[in-house]
Amino acid sequence: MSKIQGHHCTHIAIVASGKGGIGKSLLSLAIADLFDLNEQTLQLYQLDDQQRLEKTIGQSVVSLDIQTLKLARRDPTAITKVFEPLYKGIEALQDSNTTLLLDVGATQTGNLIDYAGLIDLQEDLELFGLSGLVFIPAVAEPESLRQACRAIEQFQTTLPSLTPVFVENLRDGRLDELSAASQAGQLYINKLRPLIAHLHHISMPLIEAGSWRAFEQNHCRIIDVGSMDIPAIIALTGLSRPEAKLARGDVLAFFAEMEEQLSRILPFGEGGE
Amino acid sequence: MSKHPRPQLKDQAAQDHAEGQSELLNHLKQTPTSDLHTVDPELLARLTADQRRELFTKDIIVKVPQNIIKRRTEKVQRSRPRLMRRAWNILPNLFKSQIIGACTSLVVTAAGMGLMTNWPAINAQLQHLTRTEASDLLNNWRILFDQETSQ
Repeated sequence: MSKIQGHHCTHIAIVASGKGGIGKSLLSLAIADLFDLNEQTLQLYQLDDQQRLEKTIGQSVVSLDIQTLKLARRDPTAITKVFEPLYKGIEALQDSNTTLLLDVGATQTGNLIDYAGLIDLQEDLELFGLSGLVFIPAVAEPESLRQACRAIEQFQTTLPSLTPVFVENLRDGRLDELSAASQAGQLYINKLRPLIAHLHHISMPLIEAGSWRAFEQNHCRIIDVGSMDIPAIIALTGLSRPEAKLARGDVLAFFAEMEEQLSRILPFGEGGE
Repeated sequence: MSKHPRPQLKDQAAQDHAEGQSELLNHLKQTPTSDLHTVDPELLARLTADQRRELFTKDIIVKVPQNIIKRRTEKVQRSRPRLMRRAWNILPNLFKSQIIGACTSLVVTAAGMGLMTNWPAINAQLQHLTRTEASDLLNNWRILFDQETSQ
């Protein structure tokens, strides 16, 4: 795992990968909650038909209009209309201490890359003096690893101002423990590992035995779980009292570990940059 | 929304885990030992090794498929080691589990596979043991056969 010296100037943070169910929304939520915990400003955008972030955090999340993207074949201007709120948000980052976080759904990574190429967003980022990070999560599973490789290559080509961060989701075990004979092991050894050798690499811990699921179904924020008392958790989730305590402990342990991991690349706990 | 100073996250997590484990142990102590195998294994796995030892005062029962037992009745007298290897092949994941690892004995019965299919959490724990560790664990076990099925 790479040791990162100092913090990047993070104007933009994107969470993306072409594979669903690998923790993108949870990672976005953790980043948003850690900004909140550290009382730092974050503007949230999402390009995701499931709109999980908006359901959890609320109206402050700007949801880009996925439906209009479907018109892009008939109306070439549709794609720029969809991304206009995001572009305005990026423009406004100049001379600002705010970070913009974009959560990209599994099926939308290609649309974002297409848009960035179409308007040459890279040139604008350079003009505005903006940089940032692209968080690319993956679990130890072949399609997830394949899509992570693809996303890293796409972002490195189209938006080199954004530094890729590989996020190893430990849900299915560590990549180094994959059998070299397995399909996932082959992909990791031959393709992903060389690709991420010089990239930032952080881990996303496992939340024990589905403890997060009960809160997620009720659209809870991670930061709110810690402030909920046990009777409230029991009422919300239907868990028994011991289970409720263990679940709250699991979520907080996850949150603490995420803060430790993300603090290596984001300016948490230091009063900002 | 309340804000948690950074050190409090880990402290509160540790406190929640300790209190949750303690309350869980007290709750499970009220369950008859013979019914412990019906408890969600993911819950049992949350206890510490010492707490599991405290809870499992009797041998845990692992059920083996009927066909293995039939083979055993034919061959057990001359080929008990082979039977044991077959049983191990069926139960590879259980052997390394923290739950069973905390017990002193393994009782094999012929009552079916029900229990095994109810123990998905154990698989996850096993990924972290090497072959050597699993082998050591196996070698330290005392194997018993259930009276009913060893006739």
